[in-house]
Amino acid sequence: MIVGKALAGWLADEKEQARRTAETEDFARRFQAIPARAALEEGLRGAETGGADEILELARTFLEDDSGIRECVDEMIGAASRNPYFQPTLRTASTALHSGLLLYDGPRLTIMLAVMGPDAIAAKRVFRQGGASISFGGQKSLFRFLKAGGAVLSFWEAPDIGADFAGDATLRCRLTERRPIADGETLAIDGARQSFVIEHASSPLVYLQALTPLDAAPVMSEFDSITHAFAGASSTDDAGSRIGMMLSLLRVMDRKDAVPLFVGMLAAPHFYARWHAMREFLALDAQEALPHLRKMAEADPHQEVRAAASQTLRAFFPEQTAQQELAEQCPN
Amino acid sequence: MKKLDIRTLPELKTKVGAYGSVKQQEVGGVVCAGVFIIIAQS
Repeated sequence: MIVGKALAGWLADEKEQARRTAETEDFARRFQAIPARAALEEGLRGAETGGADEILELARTFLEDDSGIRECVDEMIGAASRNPYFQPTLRTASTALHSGLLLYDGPRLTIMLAVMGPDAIAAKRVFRQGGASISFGGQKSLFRFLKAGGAVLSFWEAPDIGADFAGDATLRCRLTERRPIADGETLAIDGARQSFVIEHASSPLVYLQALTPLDAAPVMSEFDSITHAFAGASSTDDAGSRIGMMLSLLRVMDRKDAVPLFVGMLAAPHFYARWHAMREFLALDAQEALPHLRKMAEADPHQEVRAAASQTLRAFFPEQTAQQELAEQCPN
Repeated sequence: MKKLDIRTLPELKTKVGAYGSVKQQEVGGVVCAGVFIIIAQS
């Protein structure tokens, strides 16, 4: 932290502030022009319709380009040494466990450079309270450990999570391997069914993580670390979760003019988003929702959604449902 | 117009939390930079 006379002088000197801001803007331009990063951008532009595997192959080239990564880090160190007020123009992605910077930050790919200390890993284990989970992120990613920190990882596998996923207490994850990792090692993790746990580290881990939301499983799943039984699931769809909350708000506000939005969300790709939209729709305007509910009970691809829709029809629309069934049995 | 109380409507057997939410603390892996970003910004 810069305090005292130096900071007071900087705050009083507008020209100096402008000069430092210009330096930061220069950094942003130079950083984007680093050949390895520019090549990644160009590759992504050429793969606009590419799936997760194609995007991660492009990321792999960047992750395994040691001189390119060094150039990224050197650029930041150089800027910080010239300018004590320098802040990288990169998003941070940090928790109590790690500190990270996004070297690439796009809608189809993020690449994070991160450091994780052995003390933080140990503290998490020692001071953790309550149940703990082995988590499967649902998204595909690549890890490259620049410094492995003497870490020992356990590798876990869960039943593959697809569009027809049903959370069930009988689901279990299983340990597949426990081994040390090496400096420079790259791991490909399909978060729909693979995960790892850092069991131990003796020095800081420095790693790159490339992550794509493309072709993700519908949910991130958690399995209890002791029993290995399924413990819970959460959405892998950031935008979808926000839209779901907006539907709830529109329903509370009694915005019937928003009915087309509710209808649109009934075709959401994830089963839980479709049923959330239907519940909100029914609470907003049950008569408008009814034909869609019937369609959902008959034809939704997810068994639990069909069952919930059928249950709702029987419980809340018994007469209409009976008439409909009769009409179907006796069309003339 | 018929209005239903949302609390009376059935829920799916599989409960799915919002993006970035967890039921239990993660045991010690590196799960998802996207979730980390959400945590970092909140």
